[in-house]
Amino acid sequence: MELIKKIFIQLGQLDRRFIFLLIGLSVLIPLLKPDWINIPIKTTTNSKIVFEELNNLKEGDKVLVSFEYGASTKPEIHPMSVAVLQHLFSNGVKVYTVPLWPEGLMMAKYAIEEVVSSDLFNIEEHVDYVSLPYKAGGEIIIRGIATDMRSIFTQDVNNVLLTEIPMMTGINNITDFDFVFDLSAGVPGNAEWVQFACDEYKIPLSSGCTSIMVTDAIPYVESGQIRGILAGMPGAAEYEQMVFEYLNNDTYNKYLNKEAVIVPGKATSRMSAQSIAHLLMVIFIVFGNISYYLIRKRKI
Amino acid sequence: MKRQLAYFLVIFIGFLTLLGHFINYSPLNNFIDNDATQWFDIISGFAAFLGVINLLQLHLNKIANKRDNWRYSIITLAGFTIMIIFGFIYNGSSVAMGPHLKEDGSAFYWMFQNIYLPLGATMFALLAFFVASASYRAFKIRNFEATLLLISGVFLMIGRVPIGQLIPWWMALEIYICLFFALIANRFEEKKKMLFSLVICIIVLPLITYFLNLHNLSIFKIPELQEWIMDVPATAGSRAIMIGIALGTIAQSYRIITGRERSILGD
Repeated sequence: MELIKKIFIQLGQLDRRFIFLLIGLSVLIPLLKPDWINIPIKTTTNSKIVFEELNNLKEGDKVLVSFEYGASTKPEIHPMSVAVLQHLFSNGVKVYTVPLWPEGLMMAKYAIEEVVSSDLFNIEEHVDYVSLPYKAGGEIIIRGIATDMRSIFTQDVNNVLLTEIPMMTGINNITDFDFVFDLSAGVPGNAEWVQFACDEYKIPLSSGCTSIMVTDAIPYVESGQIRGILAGMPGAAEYEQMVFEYLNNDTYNKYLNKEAVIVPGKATSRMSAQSIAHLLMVIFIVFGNISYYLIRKRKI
Repeated sequence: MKRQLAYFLVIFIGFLTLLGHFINYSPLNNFIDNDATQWFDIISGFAAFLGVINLLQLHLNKIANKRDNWRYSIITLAGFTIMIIFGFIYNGSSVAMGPHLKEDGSAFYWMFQNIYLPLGATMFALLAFFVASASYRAFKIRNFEATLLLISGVFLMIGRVPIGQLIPWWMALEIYICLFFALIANRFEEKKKMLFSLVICIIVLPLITYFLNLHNLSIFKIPELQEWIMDVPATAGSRAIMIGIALGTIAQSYRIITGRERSILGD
């Protein structure tokens, strides 16, 4: 019995480097060998709501997609932005991207490029999507989009005048959009879209954000001010799976190239790594507590 | 006089902006929604310029006085200078200056794609290691509050990932039993009695739950429990914080626009 106690105490006092090594391996192995651990993904209510909301959009509807994330949060948010864009383009929806973070401009470019290079859809710039440039100001830019977009944006990201882009005809403020989708990793983010634009002008808003932001956003989701939420990498994986199934089952979709190969997104393959890492953390916590209990008993 | 003028400007613009939301007078609404927004854009552009000057001052000062870690400041300034050159002076591609910032082939784009992006992702990825190490050391059953935090943290960690769906109802029940006994362990004077009670509960409670057909309850499905934690207690806590922040913002804004708060001008 004493030996078992000793082992547990030792397990609770592992060297930090050993924990780092185990966490590294728990992430690395599933990423390198995704076939070894294949855990099915079940969709949560909030992800389903987002999917339904975007799926209800009609051909020609206008959606503003806001990019508020950067290099650090790209692995978490980027897969959902690609999946959301694929879903929108598969329904013939017109997409307007706007970055509210300086790096958001590049993220929007990468997301659009990824969808274009997948060859799933025959989409063209200024016909199916418009990329707006970055403007400093955060929530003030959101307010500007809500009231008078043309006073803030005069050109698109390629310096083409908005007046020369047919897709921009009739787009003057937030009420000219049918939906806003926010991809955020901080401030300004989904809360600012609710406070400064969408709630006041009654424009439906959904969001995808980092796991750490969900607690701040969830009151808006519960009140219906944000219609569903994609929460971090699990949310991205759930959405990717729904879009993957939707595209595979929708054989009569006129926007989808029949020759193109539909592949699951990156978040799906990363979920096994996250699962194992979370499980390992819980095991560490259990060992840490057993050790803590035994040490405390000894002191008493 | 300078200071009073600054206070007057703050008070005047503050009240004007506030009134714009309550008075339906189109020139005023137009000023708030359009002109003031553009003013803010211009001011934030200058603020970025001031930020750049401040960054330079701070790091040059650090290097000149050889303060702690001054060598890192050299790297900061080198990175800053290189990006300024690639952004404003040297393009490296046939694309026009301006659009070159986001076009393949330009030096600026190369730096973003191959240096900034991997470094940013690396910094964030390191968090996983620190969180693992910190939770191992800090998540302890010290008191009731810490236990609540630990339990909800563990359920969220497991419930948020697909592996949580693979946990069967009986295992969830065993986890609850173990957590319950961990909470009340100190109340047992005889450890044998505690161990006996724990073993009995671990064997009998799953059987009772199964025969009473209670095993389909959401509480035994960790992902659903996780959703409940997020939807109910987490929402309640977040709302309380949000309302607190909103009230604080109103109070602070009132102090600023009535000239009571002087720290904004460096007093």
